Amino acid sequence: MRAAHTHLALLAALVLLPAASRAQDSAAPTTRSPAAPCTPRALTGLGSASVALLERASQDPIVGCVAVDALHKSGDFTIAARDTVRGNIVVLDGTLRVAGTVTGSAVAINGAVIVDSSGHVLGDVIAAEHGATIAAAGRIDGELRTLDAIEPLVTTPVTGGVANTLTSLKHTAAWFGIAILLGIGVLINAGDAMQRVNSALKSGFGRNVRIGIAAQLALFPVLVLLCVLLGLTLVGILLIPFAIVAYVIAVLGLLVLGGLGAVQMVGSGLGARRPGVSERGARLQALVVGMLLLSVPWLIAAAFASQPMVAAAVGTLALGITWIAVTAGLGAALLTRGGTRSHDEPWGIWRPAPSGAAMPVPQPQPEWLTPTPLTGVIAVKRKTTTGSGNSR
Amino acid sequence: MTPAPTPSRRALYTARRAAMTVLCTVAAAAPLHAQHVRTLESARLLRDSAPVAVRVQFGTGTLNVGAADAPYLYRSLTRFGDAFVAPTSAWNASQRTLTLTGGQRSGARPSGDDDDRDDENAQDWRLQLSRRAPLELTINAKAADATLDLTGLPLRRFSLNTGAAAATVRFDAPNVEPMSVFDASVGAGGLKLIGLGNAGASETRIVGDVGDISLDLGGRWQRDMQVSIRSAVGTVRITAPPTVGIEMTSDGALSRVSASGAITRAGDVWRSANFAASAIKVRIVVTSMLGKVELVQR
Repeated sequence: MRAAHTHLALLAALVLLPAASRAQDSAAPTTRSPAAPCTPRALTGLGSASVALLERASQDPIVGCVAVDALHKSGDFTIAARDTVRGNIVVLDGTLRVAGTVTGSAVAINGAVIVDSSGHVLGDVIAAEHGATIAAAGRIDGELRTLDAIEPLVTTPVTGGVANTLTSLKHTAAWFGIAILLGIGVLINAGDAMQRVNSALKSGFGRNVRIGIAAQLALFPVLVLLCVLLGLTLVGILLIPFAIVAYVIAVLGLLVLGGLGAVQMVGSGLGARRPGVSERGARLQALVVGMLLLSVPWLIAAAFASQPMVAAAVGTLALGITWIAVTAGLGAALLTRGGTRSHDEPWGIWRPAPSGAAMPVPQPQPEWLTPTPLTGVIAVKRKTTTGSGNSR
Repeated sequence: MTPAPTPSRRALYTARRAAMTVLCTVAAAAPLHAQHVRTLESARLLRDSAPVAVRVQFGTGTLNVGAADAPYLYRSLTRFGDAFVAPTSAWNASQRTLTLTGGQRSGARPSGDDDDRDDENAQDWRLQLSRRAPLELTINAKAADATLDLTGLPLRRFSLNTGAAAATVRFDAPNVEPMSVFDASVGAGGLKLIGLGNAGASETRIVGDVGDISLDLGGRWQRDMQVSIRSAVGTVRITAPPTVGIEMTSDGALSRVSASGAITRAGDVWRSANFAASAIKVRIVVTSMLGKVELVQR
């Protein structure tokens, strides 16, 4: 009954918890915005493919707004020796030969630029795809840039959204796949410890959460205290870095053990154990079921990657659920001293525990207590049996 | 007849199946996207030969610097992945200053990729600077493997600052300009300096944090030089030709000094046998906190 309440509490947390952020993955476009918005001239007389190419070029930081803020020509074009082009000129799919003067930049997209000896470009010369040839006396006041191609930008938002969603789903699935692998490893190597954590969680979920929160709050102060105490001696000072590493490893170990124990608990409550399945198989089944259940809100958040607001809301929920599970697990891992003993065993006695079970701790028999002799004479006589006649 | 599987066998089978499923999931979830690498060649023409102050700022990647023939002030060939922005240049014609920036990571991550170690995501920058205009060159290479062939560059002053990567600087021919200071501050990657005699500097200052510093004093010497080397951790190796008179003073609490060749020691000073008679004298002060100092004359 209590276990059922625990499962219900976790499921309620699954549904109700508000929380944080997973929007980072959702919007990572590859497009690079230009520093300032371009003011294009009317792109009249150009085909839609050319317009699209120019818009793409204008977003390429190597070309920039020059691509659209220019006089546009298609095919080969020559500026004669006595001619002057005021402003920028862009040639698409052809060679731009400059024998005269260009007061702005001379650009060839899918083409080449040739600056003759009488040519003078006051701005930059940019050639995308087919390079540039500059005569020895040709003048360029700006920079000469030749690039292999215009950057292929992601321009269609629908494709981008789908790609983002797929990427987010892949990442989420991969993370949970890794978590399951980790869980299998822990199950194989520390299955008993995980089982004890599981038992502790079932014995009182709220208590474990409270202990887990207290532990999280105490993590940093304890580390500081540890360092301060070590700092009191010279040897201790040298040990501080090692102590920090050991502390971090120990905390991570407790978090992993506790988190996996919590996941296994949820899985054991939801997945019915099939007949004939061994204890170990049942534990594995519980772990996988629990992990799949925990992954559901994360996958939903990933599925809404193209809608950042929804993704953030669901991601917050998923984060909250995961945090609750890990916190409760941390509490249980602490109660069981890292899964080494049963949660209801009193503190202070170090003894290996049998698999999964709470351990009865044998108390010493008072009749065999022998006080320390003070003067070399045994102060208490050992109890003897009277009926057999073997008294000593 | 196949015996019925025992519960433990079944568990093992379930575990195998789960592991295979997970592996398939991970494999399917691996990012599948084509890396996009661009090549950009940029240049600026220079029609005069007035001095220019050049500052090169480079972030991550591989940097090669060499000399460009006229009429270029610089030529640059860059190959960069999605994680990097295109290199930029700023030329101030009135102040004669040029700033070239490359190897800077872009804010946007490449689609579907978060592995910055991918080779395709690297930056490779080959930069050539004018042979014609005297240069005051400053190179800041944060985390770049820098190979700087300064042969043929008319350098009046040179300054190098590196971070985590190694740097190699070489002069294979004499500098046509008299250099005031050769300054290098290297971080964790170390420095290899070849042909310092060709640099024509009156003073060389090298500061190293962690890593080996190797100085080859070969080349055609034109004047005496003061060399100051400060190294925190690492080996300082100085190789000098027999034509140059060497005097080295070593100062360092935990460093060892070894000398080979015709070199004599007097306290903390090591002096080559030809020092008094040599036309070219190189005085070196090495401060090494922890490490080894090797002086070789051959």
